[in-house]
Amino acid sequence: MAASIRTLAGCVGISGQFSILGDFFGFIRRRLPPDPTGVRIEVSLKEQIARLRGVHSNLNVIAVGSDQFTDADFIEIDYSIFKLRNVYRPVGVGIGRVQHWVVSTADADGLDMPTTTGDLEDLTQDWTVPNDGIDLFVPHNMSIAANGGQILGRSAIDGPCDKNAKGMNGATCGLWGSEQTARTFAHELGHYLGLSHNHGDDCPAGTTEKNNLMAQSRCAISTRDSVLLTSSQGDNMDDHCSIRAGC
Amino acid sequence: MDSMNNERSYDMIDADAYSVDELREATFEGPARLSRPLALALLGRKDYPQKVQDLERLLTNEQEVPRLRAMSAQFLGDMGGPDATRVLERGLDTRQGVTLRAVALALGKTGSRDHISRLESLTQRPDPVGREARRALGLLTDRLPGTETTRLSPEVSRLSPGQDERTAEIDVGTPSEEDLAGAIRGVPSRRLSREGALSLRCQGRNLVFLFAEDSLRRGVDLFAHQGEIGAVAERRKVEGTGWEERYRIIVEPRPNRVFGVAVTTHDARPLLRGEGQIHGQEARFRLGSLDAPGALPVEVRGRFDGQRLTIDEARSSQRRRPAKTPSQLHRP
Repeated sequence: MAASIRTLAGCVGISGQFSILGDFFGFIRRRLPPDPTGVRIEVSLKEQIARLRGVHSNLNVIAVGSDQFTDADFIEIDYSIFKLRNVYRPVGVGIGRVQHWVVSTADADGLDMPTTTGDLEDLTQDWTVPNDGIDLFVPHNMSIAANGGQILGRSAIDGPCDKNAKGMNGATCGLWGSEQTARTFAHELGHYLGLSHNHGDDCPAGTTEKNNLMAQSRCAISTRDSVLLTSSQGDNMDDHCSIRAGC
Repeated sequence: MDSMNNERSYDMIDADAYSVDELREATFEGPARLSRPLALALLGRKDYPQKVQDLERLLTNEQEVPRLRAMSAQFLGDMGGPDATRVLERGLDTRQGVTLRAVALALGKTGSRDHISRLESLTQRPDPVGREARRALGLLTDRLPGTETTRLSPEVSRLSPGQDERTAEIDVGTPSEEDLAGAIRGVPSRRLSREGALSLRCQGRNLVFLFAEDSLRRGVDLFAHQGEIGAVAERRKVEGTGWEERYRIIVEPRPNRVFGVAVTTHDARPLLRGEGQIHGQEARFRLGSLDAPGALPVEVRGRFDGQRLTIDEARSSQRRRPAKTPSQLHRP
């Protein structure tokens, strides 16, 4: 088992001494995050090994205004990573290496406090992690109005793997409380991996559609449970340029 | 395929799904169905009688979470008016950096000449507050013609698409009535003219340039007055509707009928820079991207005859300059 984990860790770019929860699972606090409902959280090493042997994508989580982040904020990020794997697992899409990056408030040039969707776009263009992972930016103080509501995150649809290409080169997600952040985190990455919303300006009528991850949160029946994906959405994500073959 | 897909989409939540009472309770008493930041974000989109007092309570409480205080300042800036401005003035006394940055920017959008000296004193700070205060001061003075203050005109190198670089033409035209109305609604803080507006389309982006009403009335002499002469609004993409302010166009007059032009983001981060000259009744100008990490080389050449803006050439590269790399987090 230990040799197998080391081999798989090497496959996703982790070498030397590493922490299972920190480096292999990508939890920034190196321990399991609490579930907002108090349910005990568990992760399966065997399951993660299986996912890495199948198709998967690597992820860079970039905390913008990093010196403002509290432990509670990092818990939201860790819970989002935990939930992301659980949401994508049923359709056979794995999340491999998760690395954490920071942009300080001083370096963020005001973009720790985005107030327009254009700011979010600028953020993904000003900063790039030079590796094969998808860049997901978490600005600390997002506050963007839209159509009588609040924008929770934004992403390119079918985002580029060439991070210097024109256009939005990453996904973004604000901090809205663990459950909402986790849903938006998975939703925005779904966009980057090629998924569109499953509705137009009006919310879908059916319960199944409202329970799909790609329904906007304003349409979801439950922030916690409306995170389902169809097999065809899974196939669509599998085709994205960032998806790697199994280790 | 490495996609050049320019579609973007977002996740959102409706303020209408919650009552003011529910949102106030979650904001001030939490924890509830919504986190406090999300409750306040939605409350800020509502109109109700105690709104200024609620925002004041958050903004002026030094023990409150900085993010909530900063959001309060943002909403007060969006509201404008004497009551909101009075609260923002109180916010200038905070010792908390994130809050102070938001207060400065809000006053840049909604303040008056009375706030120039307070903002000027903040510009001396070496931290992000100082930088934000300089932007706020720029926003404020650009809105108030004839204001005397120190302007920052750094000479920086400009990028243009290279000869061998793949470029895309920016399609310039007249906006549809619907786009024009949407774009004007998207910039509610300014009086923008329907006359002389241009649509700019490039690789899926849909933008509209609008002159400021008072600038357009000056004809070609608008380039002889310092300040903001117009704005660019962008249509939100895919399922989203509506327009939002994206860029501002600023003119800095120089001797001999020469002028500088700058294009900044809505919150005064510079993007393009250029210069021009007035020849008789026509002003000609040329703009290029500022050379910065992640910048997209763009070149724009045009002229203005006092009524009509004509773009002779507008093209952008298809590749950015290499962006900055964040620092890797080193865990204990």
